[in-house]
Amino acid sequence: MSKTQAKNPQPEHRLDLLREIWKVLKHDKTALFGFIFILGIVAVAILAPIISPYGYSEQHILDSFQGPNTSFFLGTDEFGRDLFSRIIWGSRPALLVGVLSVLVSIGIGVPIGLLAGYKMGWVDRVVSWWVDVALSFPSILLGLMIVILLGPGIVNVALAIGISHVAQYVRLARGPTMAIRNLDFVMASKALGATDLRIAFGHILPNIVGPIVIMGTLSIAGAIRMEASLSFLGFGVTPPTPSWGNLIRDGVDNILQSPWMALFPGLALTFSVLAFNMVGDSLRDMFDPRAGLGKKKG
Amino acid sequence: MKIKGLLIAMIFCLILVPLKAGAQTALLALGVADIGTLDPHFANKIGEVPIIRMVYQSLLRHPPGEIDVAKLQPSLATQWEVGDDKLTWTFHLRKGVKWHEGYGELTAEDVKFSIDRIINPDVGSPARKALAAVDSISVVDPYTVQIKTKQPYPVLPAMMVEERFGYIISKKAAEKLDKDIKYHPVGTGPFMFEAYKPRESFTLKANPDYWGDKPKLEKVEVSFMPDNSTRELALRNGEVHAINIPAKQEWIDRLKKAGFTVNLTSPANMFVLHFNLTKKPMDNKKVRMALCHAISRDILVQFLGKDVAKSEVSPLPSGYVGYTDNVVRYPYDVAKAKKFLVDAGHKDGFKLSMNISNSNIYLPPMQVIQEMWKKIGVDLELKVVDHPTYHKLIRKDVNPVVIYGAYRYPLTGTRYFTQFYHSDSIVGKETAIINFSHYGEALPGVDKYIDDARFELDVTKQIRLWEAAQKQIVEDCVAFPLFTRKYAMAKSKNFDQGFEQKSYSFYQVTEKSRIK
Repeated sequence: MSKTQAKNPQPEHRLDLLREIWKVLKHDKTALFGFIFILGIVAVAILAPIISPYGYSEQHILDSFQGPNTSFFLGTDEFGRDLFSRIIWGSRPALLVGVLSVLVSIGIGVPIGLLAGYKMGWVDRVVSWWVDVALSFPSILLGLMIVILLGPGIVNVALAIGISHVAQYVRLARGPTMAIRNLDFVMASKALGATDLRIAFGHILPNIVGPIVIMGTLSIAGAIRMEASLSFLGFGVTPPTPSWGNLIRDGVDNILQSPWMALFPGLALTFSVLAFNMVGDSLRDMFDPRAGLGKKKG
Repeated sequence: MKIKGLLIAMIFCLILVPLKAGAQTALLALGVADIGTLDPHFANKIGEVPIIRMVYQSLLRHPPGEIDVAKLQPSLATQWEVGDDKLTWTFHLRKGVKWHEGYGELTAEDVKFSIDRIINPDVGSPARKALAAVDSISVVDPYTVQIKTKQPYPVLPAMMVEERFGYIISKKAAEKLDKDIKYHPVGTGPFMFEAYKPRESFTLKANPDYWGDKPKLEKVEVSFMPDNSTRELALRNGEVHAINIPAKQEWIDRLKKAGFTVNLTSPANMFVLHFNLTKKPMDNKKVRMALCHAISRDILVQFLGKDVAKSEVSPLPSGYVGYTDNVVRYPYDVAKAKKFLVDAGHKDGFKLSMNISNSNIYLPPMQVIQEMWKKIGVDLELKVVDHPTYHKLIRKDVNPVVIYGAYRYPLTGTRYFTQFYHSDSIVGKETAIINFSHYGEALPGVDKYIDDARFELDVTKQIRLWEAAQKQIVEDCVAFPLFTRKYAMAKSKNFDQGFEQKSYSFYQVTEKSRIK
């Protein structure tokens, strides 16, 4: 982090970050594997209509509760719907909610954190107090409350997950902002008459993009898990749209009849979360000097 | 050391379970989170009714385990007869029947109090309208009551049975316990209240003063287990003797294969789609016809299982007095359905949104219908809500389509037609029951047939009127009958009820029942 801060925070900064990420991926096989896996999920989500052998809601009542076989690769559910196709389509809400909710968290949390860190004083005290309260509250519970308030549906779920994780990003943005606001180049801009807004978004923000990206990657994994949890509890997408969470729920309801109905979507969820965590962890190691050192030694 | 302790604890638990089951205690598990009320004049849910049947009794009763109006037996009344005026019914009570917990002997006062309580609008029992024919009830002597009806009403004895409109409660207990009677039932039956743990269980013990044979069971414990898989595991592990199960073929096959007795019972609910005539585009008959032609009842029956469901074509369930299948059919025909949509001006189909209960009796069949409607371009959005919310919402007239399952004792036309198709029963009205389609107002309807049939004494003429009503309702296409779906339950072989369970939504436990 200190390396990026020391450099002149101008346009090449973005390129810099991408280059650094690429460097990590090249050296860290785990991260590369995770990254390729993520690309695979994205491809599956985009190509869902082409690669899924059946429509996600297409029913074959006479073939209900089939085990994996040649016509239904991973078997069928209660309605005789092809589980393989449903898992493929289920990647869409997972990714959509994962990315969207993180953007919501960043969109709300980072400006608040910047404001608090830059302004300091009572604004900072109020924000910090609120962040402490929000962070001590279980986010799944908060998300559940918000989604009950907004009603089910994919966008609402993304909003709920996003809002319930805002506090983390406030804290993330606030700390570095406080450190950077007193550095020479910020002082210089100030002396040249730059407005607060310009300093906050033009000078400070680019310097904290790194940590935000890492946190974002790691949060996507958490958001996918939370989407699955909310869907499992019945607050996600409406039937017949599949999501991994409601597929697992259907599976649990019929676990004594056909265990694979819960197993396969569970595996899809596990591997996807794992992939995002692999990439996120490596990025954190790179940006966090202490963790990075530890890793090299190990 | 720690592991050893854990092992000992586990073995201890394992020993405890068979110990508990070894005594003469019947352990039942029902698929509910809790009970709402055990007031016998109100309760009608799956978790409540089986408990009430053990505690409370009625003047007459059906043979244990079955509903058959032709086989009424004496219970709290030993004899009954109707006077020459065809209006005055006299019931002679059994002598020496004791209320639980020392509330004294059953007398005619208790019977009068109970019937008055049911028909009193201030009490608000949902069963009130079932006894609409009752004019007054009077005490002749402590062991004799007379019920006067407004018109000749030959089915009155069939109403004095173990249903919401027939249970006899203790006047003294009701006055003393007041609201507590909701969770502290006091009856005359073979089992009496012992303990109630909210959201957990309800325990009954044998009534030592029971007027019939001494109950063979010492205790009956009803546990509340809303999760289907949990209940099945409890049965398989021998933690309980009997459970209710979803009425689906795979459950039945699976549990039979595992060596349990599965009972499928009827009369059972007939499920019907009611189109709300006040919501666009449901006001257009062509649209309704298109939706009907797009549904295959055969596929629905296949989905639920052939042992469980049978398709229905008339707004009165098959087997009811007055039933006819001589009605217009809307056979499964996607091409025809599409053509009707084009005629109705919906060439590209339309979007429809409805609330639906998350209950497994409503949501899965509706998902099958959703997929069928998709084939004719009708995009149905299912907004899943919990079961009580669904019941609230459909009574607030928010749904364009309502799916509803019902059976109405005593299996004749009167109550079925009145509740679903009479204009007085339209949801939102003060006299509302469950007319979801606004039939009788949005369309002329069949009020006249229903009213005439209610007062018709000639059974043949009454049946003709009900047949006419069925034809008209189907002709107007306001409701689409789907299927009748039996109740399903499973028990272990060592639980001997003492009779065969043919009716009701759950196993009945009587003084004859025992653990082998």
